[in-house]
Amino acid sequence: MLRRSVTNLRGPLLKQQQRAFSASRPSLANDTRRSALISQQTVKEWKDLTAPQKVVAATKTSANIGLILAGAAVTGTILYYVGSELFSSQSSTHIFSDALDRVRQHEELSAMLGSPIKGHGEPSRSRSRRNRRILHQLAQDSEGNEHLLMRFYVEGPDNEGTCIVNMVKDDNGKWQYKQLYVDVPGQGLPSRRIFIEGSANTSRRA
Amino acid sequence: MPHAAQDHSRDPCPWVILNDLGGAFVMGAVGGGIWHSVKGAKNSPRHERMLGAVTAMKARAPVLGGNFAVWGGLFSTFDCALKGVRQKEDPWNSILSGAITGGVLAARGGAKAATVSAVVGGSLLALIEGIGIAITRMTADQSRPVMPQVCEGLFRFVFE
Repeated sequence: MLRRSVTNLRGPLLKQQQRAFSASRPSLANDTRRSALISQQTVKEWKDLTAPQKVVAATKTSANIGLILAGAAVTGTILYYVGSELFSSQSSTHIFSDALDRVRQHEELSAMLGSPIKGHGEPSRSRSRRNRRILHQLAQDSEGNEHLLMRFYVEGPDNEGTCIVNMVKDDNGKWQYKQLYVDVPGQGLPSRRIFIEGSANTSRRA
Repeated sequence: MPHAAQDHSRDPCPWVILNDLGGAFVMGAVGGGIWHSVKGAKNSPRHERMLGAVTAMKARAPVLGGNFAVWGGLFSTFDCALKGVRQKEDPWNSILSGAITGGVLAARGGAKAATVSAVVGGSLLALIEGIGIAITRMTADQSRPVMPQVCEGLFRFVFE
């Protein structure tokens, strides 16, 4: 008896499923079916909506798509900035790293400052910013060459100093050192300027 | 030129870990307190909403605070460790710290789970650092009046 009742249920169920998947079925919204579990639909078909409802639906969809595209654009921009800053050889991070290596390899400077030389940037006023970031400035001189100016602080166990980097862009678009010097205060004079690249006379000509 | 290198707003490296741990705990506890009290109030019968809110908050908010504190403390520890090892401060410190923190926190799940978590932590920190890098680049193009520099070129140093 139980089995017959089950097969009785299954027969009309199968027919409903066949009708649900056939192409020429009537609109589901108007169907009154016995089994709401199988064919429950809360979204109306496009052709069932009236014209103002179609406008609303289209606006909602386009707003959502616009939001997704805006988010993707922002994420892509940030990822581009991060990638170019970390991996490009023309970024300020790479230049800072290179300049710091030159400072560390300079014998006079490492004798004056001490052995592990630490480099960092400007301290920030906000508590949330943990790394003292290296700020740089792009400028153009009178001949139209582009310059990159950077200043960071070097600290060693014995002494500390300020390092100024002045780079100019050459014909290939790569940054070349024009001046690289470190000001170490307290050497008898207010500060002693040690040139690693360039000299005091190189700034006369752009 | 006055030496502006001393950073008086943050503690030096070993003690800043405690600061960050405490700050992260408060963020997690307060945020978790609000979140779980609302959730507890919503999921209680009508005449017991206050009790449900308080009970849920008491049960869950300290846990969330502890999770945040562990994450913040580990991140700060690895950040200080990297600063000591590399002896320079740049965006790589934060990104690597985030990656190592993510890896360590998922280490009990095996190497593969730890790697996935490390990648996720690193990319999250990379996005956060990216915002700072974008701001730094935009301020690099700005022009502000400053003191004239010793080198007498026809351009000026402009720094914050």
